[in-house]
Amino acid sequence: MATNIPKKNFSRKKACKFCTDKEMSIDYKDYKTLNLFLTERSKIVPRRISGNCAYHQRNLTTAVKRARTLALVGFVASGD
Amino acid sequence: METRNYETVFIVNPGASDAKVAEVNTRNQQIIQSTKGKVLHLDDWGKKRMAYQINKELKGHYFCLTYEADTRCVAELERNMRINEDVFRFLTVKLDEKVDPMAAIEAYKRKLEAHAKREKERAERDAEKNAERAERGMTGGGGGGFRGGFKGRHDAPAAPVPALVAEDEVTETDIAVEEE
Repeated sequence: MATNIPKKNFSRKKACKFCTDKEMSIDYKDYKTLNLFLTERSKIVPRRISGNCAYHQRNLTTAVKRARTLALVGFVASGD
Repeated sequence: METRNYETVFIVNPGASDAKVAEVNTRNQQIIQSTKGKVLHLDDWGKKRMAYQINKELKGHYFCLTYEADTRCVAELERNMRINEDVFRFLTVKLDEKVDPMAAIEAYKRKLEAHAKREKERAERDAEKNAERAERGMTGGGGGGFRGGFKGRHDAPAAPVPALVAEDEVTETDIAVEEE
């Protein structure tokens, strides 16, 4: 018999930072903001962790990828 | 031909002479003007450290050119930059038509200022903290012990928690006084 006990979820609901803060916008040139959504190894933080909404996560992804071609953001962790 | 607003960020060899850098810029301007486009803004970001090496260089001289032009102009610009060996890389982006390009430039500058301000504040706070720590190190043997530890995945993003740090400082100093 399958035990379908619903897991208790203690995490509070995260809000999309770009939706709550109107001052914040996504721009590939603004690598300092992009860095907030990258891991130490320069991977894009998944939506389930950052709490971004789908729309902003999509825009963020393209911005990060643009910044990567311009060497503003790394593809892999920086050497130092 | 229909014109649009574009923005090209390009990286020039940091070792290139000023004349060569100027040549790239005048060349770009000529191309835009010859195709009846308009240069709206040229932003010089200066020599910046790149996230990874390009052409064995650690730094790059970044420029951001905002202009109004047609597709022929963009193609010609990119063709020229591809030929020029001093241009490491370029990226052309079509700007949002709903946003005024000058307003976008202003907004970007304001954002840079905000970043600079925040960094300055953080540096000041760090300096204060370091001074306090040095003082404590002289009198109370440092407080010692294992502080901090494994905070989740190594891969997890670093979240700044300035408020908590401030509280910690107060309690630690109190303890140090009691020990004396």
